[in-house]
Amino acid sequence: MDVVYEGIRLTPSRIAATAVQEGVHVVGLSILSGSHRELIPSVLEELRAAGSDVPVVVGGIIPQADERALLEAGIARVYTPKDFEITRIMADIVDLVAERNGVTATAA
Amino acid sequence: LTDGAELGRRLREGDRSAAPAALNLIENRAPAAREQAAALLEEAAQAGEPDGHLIGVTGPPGAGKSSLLSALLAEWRSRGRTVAVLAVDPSSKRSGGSLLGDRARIDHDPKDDGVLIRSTAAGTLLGGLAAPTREAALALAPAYDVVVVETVGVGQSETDVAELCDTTAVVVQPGSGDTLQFLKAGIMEVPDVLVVTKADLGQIALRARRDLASALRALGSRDTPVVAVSSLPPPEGVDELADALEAHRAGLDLPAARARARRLAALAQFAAEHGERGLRALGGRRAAEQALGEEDPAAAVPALVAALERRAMS
Repeated sequence: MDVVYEGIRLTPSRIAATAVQEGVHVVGLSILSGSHRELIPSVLEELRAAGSDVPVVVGGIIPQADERALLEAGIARVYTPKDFEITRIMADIVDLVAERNGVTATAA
Repeated sequence: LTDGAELGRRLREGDRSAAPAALNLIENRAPAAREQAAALLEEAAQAGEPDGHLIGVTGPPGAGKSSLLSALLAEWRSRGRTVAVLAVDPSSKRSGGSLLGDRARIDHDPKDDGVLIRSTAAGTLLGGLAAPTREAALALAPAYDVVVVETVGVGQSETDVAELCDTTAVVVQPGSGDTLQFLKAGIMEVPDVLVVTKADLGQIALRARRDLASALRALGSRDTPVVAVSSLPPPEGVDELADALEAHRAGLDLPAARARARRLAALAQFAAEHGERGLRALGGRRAAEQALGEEDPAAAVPALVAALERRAMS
């Protein structure tokens, strides 16, 4: 798996443009600022407007009530500090990408 | 699966929106995707040598390549050029994966569709260029005015970049003697343009420039330009560098250089797929190069690889 790291404090339009140019299979957002209710749906909007239908996963300090709202808005996965098993999260993301692309994940 | 020929046609006609999908297809290793990628490259190369200027930018880590590219991007855009950057980062030998962070360090306007930045993993080749990177550069050349291949390298690893690109610039930072030593020892080939970064350091940068120029004179490469730049705002020397890169290309026999680049790309791809054993079946690397020399100079890379494979089988 190749990971394109874009740095911190990016605008939704930059994230969408990067995802399209890099042709990624999944977008991972990290957010701790508390503004996830506004920013994350707007990343999703910008992505769809740019013609990309890739899944978006989010990790951060996100209350359970907001988690539901984000999933309903179309976010594929929400990870919070309760999800501390990093290898399980990685496997979960691999499965998500495999499922969206109609393939089966196998270890290299 | 994506229609490779269609993407190739769109790139050939200058439709830059086809670029991300084309690059995805080129990176896809599934056999069906490889076939489509071959169709893409054939189609993109239909109208003869593409106009895009293929420029290699290489140098040791920390030399200032990303900052330089930020300044060059602004310069090229102000001249109305469209630019694609293929930023090559190393892959992990252990996992085969990679963390590509170059893009974050190259300043650009994300809303400007005249700029494409694409991160690509070097694969398991140390310092060399993976076959998809070569294919990507050739596929983008009809759709962008400038295609930059940016790699980390000191010494011999640049040769892959030099083979692929019309013009190769080696980036050196002042106060570090590696490039000078490699040049003098003949380990490194003389680049088309040498760039000394961090010119804002003053004396140290001037001295580095002088030392490199005298090393080049000693090697008989008096004409190789050595340009000192400062990428910090306000940038210095960047316009001079853009001019030097253009002047180099203007002096090239482009069809011959491109034909050679395609042959070497085909050879690298053949070697990657069939290894030393495959090369031996062709009678060695030199014999393989000779065999490629007998092919149509305008032939695209996949056709050349197929020609080598036929020869190895017979």
